[in-house]
Amino acid sequence: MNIEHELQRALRRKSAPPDFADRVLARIDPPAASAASRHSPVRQWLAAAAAAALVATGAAQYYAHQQTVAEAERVNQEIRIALQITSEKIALVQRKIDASLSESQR
Amino acid sequence: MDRDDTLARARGGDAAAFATMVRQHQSMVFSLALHMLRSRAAAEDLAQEVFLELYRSLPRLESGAHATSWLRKVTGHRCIDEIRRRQHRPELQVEEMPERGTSPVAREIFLEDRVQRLLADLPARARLVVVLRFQEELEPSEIADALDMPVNTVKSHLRRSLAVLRAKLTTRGRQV
Repeated sequence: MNIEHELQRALRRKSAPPDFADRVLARIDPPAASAASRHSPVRQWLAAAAAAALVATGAAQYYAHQQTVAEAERVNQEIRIALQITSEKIALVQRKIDASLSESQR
Repeated sequence: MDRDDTLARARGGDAAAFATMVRQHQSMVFSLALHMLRSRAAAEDLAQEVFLELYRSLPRLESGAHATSWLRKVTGHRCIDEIRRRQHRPELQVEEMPERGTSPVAREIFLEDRVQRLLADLPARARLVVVLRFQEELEPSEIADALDMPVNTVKSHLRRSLAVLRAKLTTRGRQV
């Protein structure tokens, strides 16, 4: 018996299972492919534009809110002044009425 | 397209080129694992892991020949690790244990199975040396490169392994 011949025959290459290569490829990290599309220039521009639009809308809403608050404060202040003036006028009229009443009683 | 071009394209992210590399080497890698582990399922798992590692290592490979030797080396080391880690006992499958028949083909299959079972009794590194010598038909110096082993150690493994196999085959041949 020729042992070397028997070993060559017993150890000849065997075929890999069918679809072996496909199974290997299926196990290659899929995020590697999707990461490429995630970082594509078009997607980056779209993301930047969406972020800019959000920031602009938020800023506009904040400015409008601040304007409303300032206007309300101004109106509130004017009403206070008007009420104060009215109150002083009423007090003055009241004093004049009181003075004329006391003069007529004498 | 030669193997260097295929490697260059695969390194550049061409999935089809990498698939070509897998198909070019799958028989070698799968057979090394099968002859070391004697289990088709374990051999396929290990071969898949080797190719996944190849994919991650593409940037470090310089040529098609480098890829081939890298695959031999990594497959061999992984097989040894696997055998040592699990104290792997060969999973003898039904189709790998043929009944001894009377036809020449049946006798051939029976003898082939016997050789493989005797081979599985060798220590892992000695078995790998024999598999690389007779499956891949590598010279002792090439095996030494693949396994980071002195050439004389390779020759010594070969000499002793052949002597053991010859003795066992002859003995069992008389007994059967």
